[in-house]
Amino acid sequence: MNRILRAVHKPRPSLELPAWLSLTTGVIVLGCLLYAPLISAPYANTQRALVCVYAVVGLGLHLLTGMTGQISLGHGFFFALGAYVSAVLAGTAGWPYLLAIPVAAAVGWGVGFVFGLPALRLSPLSLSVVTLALALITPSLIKRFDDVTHGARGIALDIAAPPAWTGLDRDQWVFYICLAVTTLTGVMCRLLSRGRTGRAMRGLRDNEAVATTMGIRPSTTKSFVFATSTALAAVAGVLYTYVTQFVAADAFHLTLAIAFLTMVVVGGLGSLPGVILGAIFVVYMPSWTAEINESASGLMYGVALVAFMFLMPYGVAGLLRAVGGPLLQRREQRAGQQE
Amino acid sequence: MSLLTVENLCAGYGGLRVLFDVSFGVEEGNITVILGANGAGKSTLLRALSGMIPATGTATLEGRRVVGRGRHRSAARLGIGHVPEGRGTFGSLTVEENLRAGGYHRPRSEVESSLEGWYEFFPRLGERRRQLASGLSGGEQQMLAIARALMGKPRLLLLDEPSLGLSPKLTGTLFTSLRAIKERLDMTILLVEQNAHLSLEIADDALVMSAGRLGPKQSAAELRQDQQIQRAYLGA
Amino acid sequence: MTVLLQQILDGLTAGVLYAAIALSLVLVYRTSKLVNFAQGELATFGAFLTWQFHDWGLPLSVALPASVAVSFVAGALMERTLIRPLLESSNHLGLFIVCLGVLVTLLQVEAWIWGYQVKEMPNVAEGPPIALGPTMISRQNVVIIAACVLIAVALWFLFQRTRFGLAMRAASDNTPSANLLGLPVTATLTFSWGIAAVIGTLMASLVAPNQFLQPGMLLPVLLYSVAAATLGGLDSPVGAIVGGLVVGVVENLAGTYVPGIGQDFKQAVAFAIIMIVLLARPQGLFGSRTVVRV
Repeated sequence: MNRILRAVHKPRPSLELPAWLSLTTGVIVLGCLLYAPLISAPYANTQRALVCVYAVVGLGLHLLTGMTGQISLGHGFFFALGAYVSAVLAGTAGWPYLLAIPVAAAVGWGVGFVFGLPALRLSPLSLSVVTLALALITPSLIKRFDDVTHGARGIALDIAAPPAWTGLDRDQWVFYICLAVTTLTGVMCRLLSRGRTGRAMRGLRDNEAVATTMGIRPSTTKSFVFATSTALAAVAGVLYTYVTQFVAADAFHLTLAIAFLTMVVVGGLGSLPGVILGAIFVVYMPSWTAEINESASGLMYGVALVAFMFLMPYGVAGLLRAVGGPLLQRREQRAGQQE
Repeated sequence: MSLLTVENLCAGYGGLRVLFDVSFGVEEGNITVILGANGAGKSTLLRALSGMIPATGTATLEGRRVVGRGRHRSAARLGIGHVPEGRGTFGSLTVEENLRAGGYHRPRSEVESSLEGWYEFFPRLGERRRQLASGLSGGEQQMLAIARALMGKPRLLLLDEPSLGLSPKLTGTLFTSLRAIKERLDMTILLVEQNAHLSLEIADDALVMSAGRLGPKQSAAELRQDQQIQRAYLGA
Repeated sequence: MTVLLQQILDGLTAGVLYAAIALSLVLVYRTSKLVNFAQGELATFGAFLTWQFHDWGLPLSVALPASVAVSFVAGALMERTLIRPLLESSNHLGLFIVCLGVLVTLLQVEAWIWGYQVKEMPNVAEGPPIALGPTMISRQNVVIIAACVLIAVALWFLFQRTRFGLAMRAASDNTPSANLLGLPVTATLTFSWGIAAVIGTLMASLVAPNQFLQPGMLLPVLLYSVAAATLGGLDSPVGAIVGGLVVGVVENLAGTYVPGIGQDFKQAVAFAIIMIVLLARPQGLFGSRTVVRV
């Protein structure tokens, strides 16, 4: 037992699966995901779509935390921003609903950049204070702009209806949209973290002074990363309105920020596949525990945050790496011997 | 008999080993200086002796083990006063509060009389007893750090580069005070220094440390004459 | 004019609560160098305990000390079990996450045990409000202000006049040096967490009759208290008190007199204070500069 605990406490590189394995897994998973909605109940599809919604936020947080080592509790605000962009444009103003996605991304990026310019000059401790404060005031901000947001009463929507030629129901159609956006986001995050920006960000995280002397501008790079992650949160907010068809101030309490944080912690700080696992956890766990008590799901979030920090600081992804790493190594050794 | 006896002491930071089988003795009532270049392991030796970092091997002070007994008893309780590199005074506390913190484990009546004694010995500290330590000059801070360590009535005083950041003149004054402390209190002092010239003036015994290993003990007077040392440290 | 005076007085009364919770935050920050976001919820939990003891038939004069004692143990225990292991490996991200985890856990445990229905907490002091010139103040609020003054005096005495208080200040100033001198550093840490929890429970129990005792009662207060502690300087107890009173008055006046702010939006004032202070003067009004490094 102790050996396992020690093993998951070490930071590990992500698993380098052989190309054929990741390709087949990818194709099978994608196939299942494309086929499953056609034979599932609407409720199941709604939950799967919510996993995608959370995953998009999680991918943004993954960029921020994994690359810069900073953490934000304020992404609930940007999530709300995206949700209201969608509710107002697609709902109240009657624009095509898909248009809300790029608009929310742009707004989320811009607001995040403006917020990040001063905020990212702060120490990690101060940034955590500021973003927690942002999370705490989000509901009252929404209520303040009551004439647009309709505050606690909220806005009921009727958007994201499937085109007639598809023959799909709304829950199926919405899931496919969410899946597509999540996949695109995942690919984009992978490219970002492997490319120039990724190297710059890792440099900053590991040693800001050295990175600066090598010509990386900390404020620009950090603001860019922060804005990208808030843009993703805003996009997720739009998807959220497709799924729930309703927005109201009370959906954006501290609980939402905590759910986002739980997702990243459970999945594994700084692991891309971990984000998906985390999203699955925060979406499905409440529905399992709801039968016990309505407080049980929130309690699980809290307990998970504490427990994971002590038992599995690198989350489920860290566990998979600790278990999978030696297995892969053995396989490679065997392959080497055969040659 | 030596007051402090160190045998096969090894220490380091994480996986990095800095000290290799260090053995030596410090005679009671003497000033012993350990000379060595930056990074030779001098500070690490003092840190290991006062339990700031884990170490293996043995070190005994008056027959009582000081190394390898876990962290449950602090160096101060065992009779070691350690003036760390950079002085480590409490900047937000007044001079007097710094000294009182040094005498934390002694009865109140003794603390009061010791305070007066140190104000007499370092009049600058007496004048500034109500001021915050952060407002003191470098030399005054060093005096304060030494007096604070001595408030705990140690048997052995460890001094880590007291001359660091001080002018040659101030260093001279400080070392004269050290000599006076040794003579008046019959204090045993283990001094770690880069400034060989001045420290050999006041020291009785001297050792040279390089790359984590300690050379043989010599008398300070002997070492002053040593050609090699003169070239390496005294700039002659 | 009377309205203005009344607003200032109300602001000060609210500010006393912010100051007390900010004081708890500062006590913890000084020793552990972290902002314990769970502090407000620990206090709410303490208020629930007081209510529960009273509901079981104990008089308030017994129930309050009992819950205060339990809080001390709980605060100390939290430091020993959850905080110190992470502090020793200087895992700051982990500490932040654990504090939030405790916040959520407490919130949900409260909801589980006591539900969301507001609990009726009795006042310590009953009777008609007292007139101060043209303004009025309730007797309970007088007690609250007196309690805060008492806490401040007691802390001043602890820090300035006792040996242990000296060790507490030395340990928070320079931990390695304090260890070298053999000061009881770990004891000061545990004790600070205990005292912080005591202050929270005491004040939360006293304000519970006005604030509607339910889970998350002090979440809005946490925001103002963080603003107060930031304004005063995270490591300055005096700053926490001054900051609390200033935030209380500013928030109240802004809510009444600045057009477009109103009661809901007052929280944004706290947010603005936090942001501006951290950017313009990270050490706050009375804090030491080292805060900037963390």
